[in-house]
Amino acid sequence: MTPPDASPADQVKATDASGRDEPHPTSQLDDVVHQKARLGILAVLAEAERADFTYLKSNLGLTDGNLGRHLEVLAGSGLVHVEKGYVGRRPRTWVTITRAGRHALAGEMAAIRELLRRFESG
Amino acid sequence: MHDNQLHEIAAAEAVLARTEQLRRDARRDTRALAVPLLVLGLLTLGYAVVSYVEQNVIASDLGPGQSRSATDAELQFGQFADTYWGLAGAAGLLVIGLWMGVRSRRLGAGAGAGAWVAGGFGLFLLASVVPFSPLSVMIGMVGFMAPTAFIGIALLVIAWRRRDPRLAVWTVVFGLVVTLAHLGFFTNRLADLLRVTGLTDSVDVHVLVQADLVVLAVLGLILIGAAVRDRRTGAATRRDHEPVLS
Repeated sequence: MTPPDASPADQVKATDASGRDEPHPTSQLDDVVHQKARLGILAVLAEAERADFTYLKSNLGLTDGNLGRHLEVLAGSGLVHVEKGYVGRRPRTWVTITRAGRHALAGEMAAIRELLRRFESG
Repeated sequence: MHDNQLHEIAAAEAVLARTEQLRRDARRDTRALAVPLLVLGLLTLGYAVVSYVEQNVIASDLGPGQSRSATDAELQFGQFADTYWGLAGAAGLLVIGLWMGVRSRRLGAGAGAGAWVAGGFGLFLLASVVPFSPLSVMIGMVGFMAPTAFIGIALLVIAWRRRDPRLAVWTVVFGLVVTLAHLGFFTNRLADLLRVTGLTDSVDVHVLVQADLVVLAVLGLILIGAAVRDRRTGAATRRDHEPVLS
């Protein structure tokens, strides 16, 4: 999803029914979270709380490299915590969602819903 | 509406739908209710049996003018019955925790055993250590009036931490029914019903007072039935599961 085709000022501000300026929902979209795969990772972790690399890979249909890069971005922003360990001799990577990650996911979903509401109300 | 806006709406709806689907899949995988319900059902059936023995064997009516002292075994059984939901309940939570830990390790997803084990140890401490603490009278009163109060609180905290409303609903139903049965509510309402319908004399009082035990047994069977149903539903939806992102 790309931001609406409007001037930057229009994208950030809109006027509500009472004449007050309120931020346009697209200004609430976070580039880190908005990406499809990263949003999926956060959605899975918000329910599972903790998941390993293999579970995320198979549920999201991503390759090892792709998932690894997205996790680096999310971990770099403090939205997930990555913990590497071993089960026997096999390495196993567990990913946990952080409080900031839950907030970011909730904010993103709220912004998308608000965007839809505005489109639908014309 | 511009084509561009239509495209935006479709894209936003697709993102929402995909995210909700992923959440549902992860919820289905990690929040199996079957084992908690199975364990609660078995514990409730066990409590019905314990209550039956206490009510009909240990505290049974003697003949006119007869009396006897309780044996050591009967006293010990009475103590066990008093702490049933503290000790058996704690063991039940630990069993659930063990199963959840193994499951999340195998599946590669889920919060694991932590909350269940903490709840189990908390209950065990309440049942075994607190009787010797200054809080013993208050906790004893609560346990006497509502024996499932503490396991109920532990389960509600777990449901809240795991964001599991279904577990919370089942916990409330379980806690309420067991407490009402413990207080003799169902026997009294059945007696009221028989009085209103004029059938009091047609039912033996020894049968009438078993109403609460019957309700406990039925609740235990309902919980086990719900566990079996949840397991079947989970297995069926897992078969249909496909990755939704590419």
